[in-house]
Amino acid sequence: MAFPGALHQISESNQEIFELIASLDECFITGFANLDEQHLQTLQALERVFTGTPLQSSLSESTQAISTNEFVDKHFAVIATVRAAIQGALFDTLQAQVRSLLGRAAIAEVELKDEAEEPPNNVKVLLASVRHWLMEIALVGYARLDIATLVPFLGTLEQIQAEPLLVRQAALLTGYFNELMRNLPVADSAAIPKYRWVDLWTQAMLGTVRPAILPQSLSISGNLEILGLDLRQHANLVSFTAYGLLNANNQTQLVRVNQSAYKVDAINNEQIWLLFANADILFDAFAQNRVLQIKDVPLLPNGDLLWQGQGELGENYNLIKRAAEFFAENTGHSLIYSTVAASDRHPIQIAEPIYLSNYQVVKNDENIVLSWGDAGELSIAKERISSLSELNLDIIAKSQQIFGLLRFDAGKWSVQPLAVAVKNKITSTGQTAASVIAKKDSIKNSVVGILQERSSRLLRKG
Amino acid sequence: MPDSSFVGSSQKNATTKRDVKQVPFVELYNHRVQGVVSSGSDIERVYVSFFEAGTLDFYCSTNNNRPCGGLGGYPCKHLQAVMKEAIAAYGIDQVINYLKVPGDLSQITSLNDIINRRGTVKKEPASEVFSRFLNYLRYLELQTANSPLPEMSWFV
Ligand SMILES: [Zn+2]
Repeated sequence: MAFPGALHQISESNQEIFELIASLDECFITGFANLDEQHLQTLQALERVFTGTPLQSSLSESTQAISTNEFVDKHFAVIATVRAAIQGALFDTLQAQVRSLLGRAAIAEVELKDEAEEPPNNVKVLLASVRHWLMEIALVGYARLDIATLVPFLGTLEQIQAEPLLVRQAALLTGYFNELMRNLPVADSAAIPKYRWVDLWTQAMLGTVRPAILPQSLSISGNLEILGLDLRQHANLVSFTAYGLLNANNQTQLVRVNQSAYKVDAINNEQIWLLFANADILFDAFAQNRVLQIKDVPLLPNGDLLWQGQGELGENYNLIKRAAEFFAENTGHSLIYSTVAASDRHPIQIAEPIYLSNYQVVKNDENIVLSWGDAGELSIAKERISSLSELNLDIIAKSQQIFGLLRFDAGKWSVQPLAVAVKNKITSTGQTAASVIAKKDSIKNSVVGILQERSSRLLRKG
Repeated sequence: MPDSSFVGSSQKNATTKRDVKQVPFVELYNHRVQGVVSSGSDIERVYVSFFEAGTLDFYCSTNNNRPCGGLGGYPCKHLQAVMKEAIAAYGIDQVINYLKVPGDLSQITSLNDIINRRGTVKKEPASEVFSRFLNYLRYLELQTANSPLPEMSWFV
């Protein structure tokens, strides 16, 4: 049995890895200052797993230190690195599995050349204080953590938000901070979303050791066909990744365009698009299914375009047809794929583009499942569909064709639709953005406009 | 099976429409329901109002720390507006829960039910809430990015 039936077999070694992560995460519930014998055994098991790897000696030094109550933040950075390395290995095996089932070649590793410049000193100071704060959280443990431990971090967080080099850290730390503030202290430690919270902690810690400066890019010109948008948000930031085919230098490659905007919680409907007024040409191109002609845009080695809002509309393309051409199972079309940097690999980052058709829609409790009979089935990754998306389960249930991303979460594969076709009508996330932005008069009475007015009246006087 | 990376309920936005024009800011923070109300007569002025959790003591003053003229022994219209918007933003259950409103919870189903269980006037400076508000507005002025943010995968 091939795709998608064979996708759902999770190997025994992956099962063991999930269990190892779960027992490591128990240390974060209890707090590293209060570990018992069983927790220490988990750390020793971790050491055995990493024997013979480049992390062996630093891990053994760190577990030694932690076991003897010698708490230094670099040891916690090692714990984060180790946990992330396990997730990275999972990413690699899962991605290899799905690509081989889809008849796609393995993706070659890309070389990242770091810029020669060092990050400025203030960045290093801020990252050091993040590391310290994260160590405090790990020492206390989520079960005992209260907001008094968190509040003093707010000053550091504001400085991080104001430092453009630290936008990744700011996006993550703001969401993590908000989430902890809302949920602490916990009444029942069994209800802690420990996998998620330790993931967020791990990512935050990695953000303090990863280079703050982007790798070298090269400049590229060509025709971009946007196929879909993945929209994500928390109370203070909204971000989208547009997936598109870039035709340049007689090659086609899958690229991503990323745009983000800070926001406040009251902006939580279609007005979100007003925050991306600078990307209007991209939304126009997408809404009309027209090519966006771009010129001299920096392209990062992983396939991310650092696009700044320029471009011209070109010819029409057929979105679903292009998606089918490149992303159906066993399609012969070759393509240069975008990749995920090694330090970012985690099952949550698997986003394998897929075109699906000829399925039956089966309703199942509160979700829907796409079924190909004996060939298997795939659930909709409804947890990934933004509440702000134009897509919903009703439209997906009526569809005949889907372009989306294969996702992996909670041990299961599913598909996150980005664009669906009901007969010939396509619905996609971000499709209405252009028309929301075009109604210029509406901004004045929008939440964005009202708060901007309040801000201009009051902010510089505060 | 491993756990999910997502928690469904905590990330959902409240569904009721907010009135940002009247109440640009409301939050549950530091054991209070607190917010800012725009003045109907003076565009340079705002009122800063809060209810305290547990006691339901309350206060309202201008951003310049002048006590609100509408404040007798009873929550003024600004305090009522802040409570109304808190319910719109967070849902009544979360507000009641956060405020630890005393009494039989099944009997508390509306704005008035909460106001009827109010405490007394508690004079406290407006500066802390006002600076929270300015900080909130600051988000709309922060620079954003066109670089990848893989971390946002955790936030839907
Ligand atoms: Zn008042």
